[in-house]
Amino acid sequence: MKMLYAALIAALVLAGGTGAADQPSQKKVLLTSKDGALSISGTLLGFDGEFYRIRTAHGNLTVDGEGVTCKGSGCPDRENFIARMTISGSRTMGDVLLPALVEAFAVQEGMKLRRVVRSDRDFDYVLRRSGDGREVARLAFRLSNTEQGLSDLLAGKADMAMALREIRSEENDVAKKTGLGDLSIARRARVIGLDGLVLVVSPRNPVEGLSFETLAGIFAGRIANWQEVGGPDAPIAVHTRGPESGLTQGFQDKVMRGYGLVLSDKTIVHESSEDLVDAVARDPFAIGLASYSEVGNAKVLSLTGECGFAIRPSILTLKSEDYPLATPLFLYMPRYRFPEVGRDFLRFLGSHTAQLVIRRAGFVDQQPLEISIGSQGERLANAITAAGKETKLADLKELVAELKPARRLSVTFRFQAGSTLLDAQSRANVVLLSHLLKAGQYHDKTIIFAGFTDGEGTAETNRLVSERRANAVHDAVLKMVDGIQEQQLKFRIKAFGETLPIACDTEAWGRRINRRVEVWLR
Amino acid sequence: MLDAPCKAEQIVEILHEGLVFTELTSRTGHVSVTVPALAEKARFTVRFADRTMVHAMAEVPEVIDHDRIVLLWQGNADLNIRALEFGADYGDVGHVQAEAPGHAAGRDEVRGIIMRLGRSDRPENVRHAEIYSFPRAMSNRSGAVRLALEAGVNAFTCDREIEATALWKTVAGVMRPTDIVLFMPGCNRIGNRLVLKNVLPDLKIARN
Repeated sequence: MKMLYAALIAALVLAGGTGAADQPSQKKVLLTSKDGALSISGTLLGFDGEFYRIRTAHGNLTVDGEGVTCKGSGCPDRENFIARMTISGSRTMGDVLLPALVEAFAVQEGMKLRRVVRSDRDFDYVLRRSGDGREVARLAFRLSNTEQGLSDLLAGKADMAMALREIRSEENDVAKKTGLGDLSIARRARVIGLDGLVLVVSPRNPVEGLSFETLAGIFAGRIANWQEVGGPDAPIAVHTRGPESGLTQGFQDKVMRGYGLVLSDKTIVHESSEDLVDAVARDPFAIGLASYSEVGNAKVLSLTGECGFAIRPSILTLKSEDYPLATPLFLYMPRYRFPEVGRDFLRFLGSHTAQLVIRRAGFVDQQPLEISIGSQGERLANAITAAGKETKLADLKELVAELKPARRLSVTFRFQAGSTLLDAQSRANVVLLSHLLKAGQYHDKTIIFAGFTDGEGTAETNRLVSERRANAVHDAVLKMVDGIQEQQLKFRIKAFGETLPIACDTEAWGRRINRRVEVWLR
Repeated sequence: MLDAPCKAEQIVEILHEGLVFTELTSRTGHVSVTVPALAEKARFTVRFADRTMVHAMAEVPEVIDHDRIVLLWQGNADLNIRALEFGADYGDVGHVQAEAPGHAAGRDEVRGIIMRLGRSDRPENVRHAEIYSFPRAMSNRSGAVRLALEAGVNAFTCDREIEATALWKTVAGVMRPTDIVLFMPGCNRIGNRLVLKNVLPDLKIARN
């Protein structure tokens, strides 16, 4: 509690950007309109290159710099303004990905780049105009973990937080109280790409896949010998990142919690994912919790279910979230305006070039993939195997007739555990799909929203539930594309209920994966 | 290979697609040096102390078969690239460094090399270059090559900022320079080496 209070005070003083708020007591300014008719005096809180933010007797005001002249000791140098921003948080995102994006951004803007290195976790990028070499921006990177990044953002020590998990409600409460705004909304929780939690072993380890339950047992320290899971008689060495890492926290929330277990305190802890996967690759008796983007020389395991389904992480299964441990890469940002360079950088993150950079850095970009029904053979085979009890041949025939001439889009919508609310990746998908529709990407196609459920309950109820979900996704997307004529877009809602499971209905995670709305194009 | 009998015992600069290093001509005005090509149409320039220049051009189509990372620095700064290929640890086969050329490769193993360039009359006048090359097209392995930048803390560099430039290929396929400034540890750490694992990009190799 005491810590939260301290964070609150710091944020009140510093709100307005880390580059903007040194020594407010000395920053007296008098802003006068160009015609001299109006003037306001106060203390400068921040300047983003265009707007002054000042504290006055009437409260905090934001004033367009174009319309006024500034007098006083606190006036910033408008001509030689340097945008300063601090980006703090996850090493998984900050080691390679964000630097590569900054480098590509500099190339696109024709700016010169200099990396000032204090250590691997503490470095700045200095951006200069190529013509006169004037410094225009300084982006400071502070790498630690998701938790620290969010805490820096809340304390006003960072302008953006790199995070591998969603902000928690108690963190968001602090953000709202300190004037940073509601950080849970899509605009302040930008998903810049995707990654996944993956389990790795040495290439010399014969194990190819493990179930959630076994994994939870291993990471809790209950299963301590490979013999117990069909391997050689040797103790299991468990490798993880620290407890504040987004990877560790995500695994705890998505896997361990379901079995009422917590991570053992006897794991071998690494400071970076790179160190972790390299250590695992060298030890045939090790297992590690890593990310899809950084598996180095280790071997990635499939997730298996007791009914025989096995899912491997891949670009496709991460984009479609068919792999249950997909993790969006979040960039959290506050309500205040960023300097122009910062806004340009954010715009760049959605560009085609940025998607290429994200892929080359080993992460998963957000460009949707189209998959023909031919390459969905395994899913159909699974459905036929599972059919019989309630699913009838007629249902499968209907499904094939509807989808055979269509192609599935990797964009898939899923729901928060035990809820009808979309999960974070799916909320980002609403934005993504509506952008593509607005851009006319699929103007000559019929867009099919195909709802599916798990196998709990009767087939009849499930058909209704899947229809309701497909409708809800359709409505959410349509709301975002307002502005274009509805008749220009051809939508179709299909409800397939429990017809096409892609994971085991006997396990909670399998049911969550099966409850989905797919998008098909015809 | 450069032949310039009238310019004996001189410092010359050799420039190639962003790569720069100094060399010394012999008493007969000779310089013989092997330089890895960084472009298919490779342009080389030799700049003499009197600023006269000689240009040469070579077609090197096999450039695309290699991944190359270049590090440039000057004078007494003690920098080097260190590569750990496919999970190798320090001292293993697969630990590649210019000073200690790696152990002989196994029969089927393709590995990278680090070439070190740069000579002059006095240490402070040397423009150094190191190039790590990995023959991607010939490799039948998949995995990661970890590249680290190492900087020795010595009497010239301790407690100072030292500058370097690194070159690697962007997504657009061109070699691009990034200037680097390193804050070196204090002089009580003389003799240590600073190891930076994230300044140079790791190579991710997929099996052909």
